[in-house]
Amino acid sequence: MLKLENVEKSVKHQGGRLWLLRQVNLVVLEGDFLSVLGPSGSGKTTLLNILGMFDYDWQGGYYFKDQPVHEMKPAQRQAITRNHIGFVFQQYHLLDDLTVAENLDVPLGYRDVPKKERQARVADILDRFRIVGKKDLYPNQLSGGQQQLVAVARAVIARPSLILADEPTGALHSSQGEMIMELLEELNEEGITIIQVTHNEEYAARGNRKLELFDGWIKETAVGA
Amino acid sequence: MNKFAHDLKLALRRLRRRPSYTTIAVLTLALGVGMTTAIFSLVDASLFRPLPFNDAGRLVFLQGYAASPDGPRIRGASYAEIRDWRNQSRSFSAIEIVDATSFNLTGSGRAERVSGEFVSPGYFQTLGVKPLIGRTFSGGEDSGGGPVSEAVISESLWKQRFGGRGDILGKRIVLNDVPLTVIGVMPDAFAGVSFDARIWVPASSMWLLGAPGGPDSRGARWLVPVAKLHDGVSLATAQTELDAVAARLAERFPDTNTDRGVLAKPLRQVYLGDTRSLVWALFGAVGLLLVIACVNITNLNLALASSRRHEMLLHAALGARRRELVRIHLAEALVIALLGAALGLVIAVSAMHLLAVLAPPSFMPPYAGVALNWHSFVVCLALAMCIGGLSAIAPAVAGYRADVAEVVKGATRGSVGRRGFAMRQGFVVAEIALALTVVTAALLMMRSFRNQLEVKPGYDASGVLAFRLELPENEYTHADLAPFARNLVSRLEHIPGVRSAAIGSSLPLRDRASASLVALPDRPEHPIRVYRHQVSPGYFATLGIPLEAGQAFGDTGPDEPVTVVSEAFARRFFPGANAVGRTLQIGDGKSLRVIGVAANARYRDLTSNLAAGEDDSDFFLPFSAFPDRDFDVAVRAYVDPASLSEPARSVVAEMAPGVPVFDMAPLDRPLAAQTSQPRFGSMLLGVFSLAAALLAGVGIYGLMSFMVSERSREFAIRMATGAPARSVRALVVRRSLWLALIGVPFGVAGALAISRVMDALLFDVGGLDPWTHGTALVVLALVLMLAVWLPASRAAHIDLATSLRDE
Repeated sequence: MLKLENVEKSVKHQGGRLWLLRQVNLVVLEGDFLSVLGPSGSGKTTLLNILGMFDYDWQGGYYFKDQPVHEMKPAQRQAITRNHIGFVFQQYHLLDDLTVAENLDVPLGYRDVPKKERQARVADILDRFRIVGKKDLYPNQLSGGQQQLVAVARAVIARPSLILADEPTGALHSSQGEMIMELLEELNEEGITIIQVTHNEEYAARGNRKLELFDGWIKETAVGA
Repeated sequence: MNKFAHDLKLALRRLRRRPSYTTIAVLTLALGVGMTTAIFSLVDASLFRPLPFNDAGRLVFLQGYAASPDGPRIRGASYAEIRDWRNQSRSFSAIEIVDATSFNLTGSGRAERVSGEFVSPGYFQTLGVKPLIGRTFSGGEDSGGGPVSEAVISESLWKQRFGGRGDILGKRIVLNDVPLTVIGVMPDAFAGVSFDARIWVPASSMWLLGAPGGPDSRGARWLVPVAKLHDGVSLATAQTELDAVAARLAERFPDTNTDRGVLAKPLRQVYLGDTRSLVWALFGAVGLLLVIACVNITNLNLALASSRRHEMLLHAALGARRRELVRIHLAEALVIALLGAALGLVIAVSAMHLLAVLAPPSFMPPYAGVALNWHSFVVCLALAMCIGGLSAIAPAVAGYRADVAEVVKGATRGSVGRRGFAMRQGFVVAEIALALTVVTAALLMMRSFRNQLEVKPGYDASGVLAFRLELPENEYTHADLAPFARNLVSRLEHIPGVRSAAIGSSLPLRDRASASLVALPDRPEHPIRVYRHQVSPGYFATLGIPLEAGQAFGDTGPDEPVTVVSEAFARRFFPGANAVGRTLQIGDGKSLRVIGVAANARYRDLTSNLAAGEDDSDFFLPFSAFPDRDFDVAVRAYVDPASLSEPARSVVAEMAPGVPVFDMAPLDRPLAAQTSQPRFGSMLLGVFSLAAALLAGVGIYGLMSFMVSERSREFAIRMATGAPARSVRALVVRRSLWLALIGVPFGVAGALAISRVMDALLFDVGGLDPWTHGTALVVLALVLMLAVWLPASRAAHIDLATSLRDE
């Protein structure tokens, strides 16, 4: 699915440079469920930003489905993000002015999906995630777990091949977190590659691979739960 | 299209959820667009709407003037002069006589006073107008020979007085007791260059109908002919030629034409007069208001973009391209623009209605109506939409991509960045400067108006009813006039409620003036032109004009050669000496003995400098010795003067059946009319300045509110670590003080610039008047303090727990 070769990122800091990622080499296969762990400031979110192509300011090589992302223009990277990657944020980040159904429709609108197909897909996803009854509610009318559920639904509605999840259970109660993790497992079983950043060791074990970062370095990788 | 419709639907929803922003943006836009549209409609009607004459750009009035140290004083031209101009100039394809006047129309139906024009035969052709039926005057009628007894009437007169009957041509009418034959009817769209005429009579007949002098008299000057420039001849060229003609006439006729010239002025310039400056001042003020409104909207949009940065980044993270982000902003800008335009149209229409009701008749030139101009609405709307739209989409065009990572980091508060905030501060500084300029302009006008109100007219206009009579020549000989006048005054004084009555050739501010040449006996070769009044004995007492020396007229006999002079006259002719007992000579060589000196009074305007005394000197002759068949009557009452109108009419009807009473009105009405234009201008500018100051206040309030929101965490930390609330409040006030301190010098510069432009409009107050400029500063400061106080207070009462909670 993707490969990082000696990816590094730094920022200017007090006359010198502060390294956020150092010599990151990583291969993620299709169907992997990779959990990225590490203390605060270890570079987890930075790594996720680079993988999601939200951050262009780094060095090294990044291949996505054998295409050299590091050589692409911004518009090309955005196209890959749009067509292949879905994102789940820790704070859900639903659009407050839109209903649940409209929030689900947003990614499809930006992918030029025809209206009828969009309506069909939104109906499908509402049904699959069992939130049909909530389709006309606004985010502030939902619980945290429900909002994250909608966020996950929004991430998958465009049928990405890769989901990047940044602390998807970080703002949830344990039961709600459990629900989200089950959902991610289900999606992974359907073939979607998932990379999640998490502090939770138990949730990290739900994936088939683990990656530990420390001060921007990959400290350890593990295969299997 | 579907997508944009969807965006519009969401835009409406988003705007509904932000009522403060939406309300302020819509109201601001509506105010700017609406008021600018209203004023621009006036500007367009006054300055740009074509005059209703053919080839109006080549038409000019020729104004005869008398040279003076203060510049040319317009005096009109004599019939003989116009004939000379016509014969000696090559720049004009036509020079046509026109004299706006009014007539007693009798003959068929009741007697009525009708406004009309004396015109030369080529008048209608020069203006490019054709009669509805019949014909106009033919060329042979103005050969300088005898009068011609024909008339052209207006369509409305034809319908109202003659039932619109087809046999009007050839019908006989009687004007000032002279029978005339109707030869043509003009359509109602044409009312002459006076825009008031309902009847036209050949100029060659004017002396038959009571005009002074004769065709060869050079001294009787009151005519202002209309002329058409030849193709390809510029106004400057024509003026040069006219100056040469005037010089030749001065050489040939030194007694009458020394220091006399002629000015060629485009018709519009004459019609506009002083209104032009006022209209441009209003346009400038409302233009500044529109700029302030646009700046406010831009600031609002920048603030909104800042607060919605996270939302926009999220859209970008979900795959939105730049054009899709632009579409979101555009949809909202369009909704605001449409709502603002709709409300702006309501404001514009309401403003036009109010203007039509409140504007004095002299405010707009006679050819311009007060009606909404749709072109100006479209222009203003387009301008507002462009500015509002650009400011709305600018953040989107600038792009969010580089900062999409902020979304992942979970940053929920957007930041406009230092550059954006600096831009907003710059806008507020500009608003303060503009608002100060408008407020200063308004205060200058108000001060000028107040000064005009304080001008003492020199007479007591309250409680006086005035009207005019013109006694027909075929019924009243010259010898009948004085006894008629005496009898009329006596009968009027017997009406219950009447204190006194008097007659004068012209009462103050009633737009009539006569002048004569007067000389001292030892200097007969240096006559001076002064204003002449023929008055009855009770004139000064009835008008409340005190006598400074000597006495007024008694009921003198026809040959007693006496005169009363004004204070300005006495100072001019007899400086430092007592004028009573001195002798004067008038034009026909008759000597007059001065028996009294009357206090100065304002007979012609409220703004000329009486102390200068140059051309504002008046002398008074006894009506009994110098009667006129055309005169004003003043009746001072113990009661409401309007209640005497019917009794007065009855007295005239009994004494002179068939002689219409006209121009009847309380004497204070022309006094109010003199101040009506500056009053109206002050009122309008006051409204604009208030709106400008409020908008500037809204602007600074918005910026300070935004700053407080952005820095709420900082303020919370300060207070949590011991800072008193007042110090936080002071932080906010200090920031706005800086903005004001930067904006004020620019505002002062703008105010000084606009003051220079307005100098011509101001009465008795200089454009640099420090009191006015200081007051403007205080007014704006008060508005700004109020605008800043609210966000400053909010900063001082921040909820520490909420602000310090981690996001």
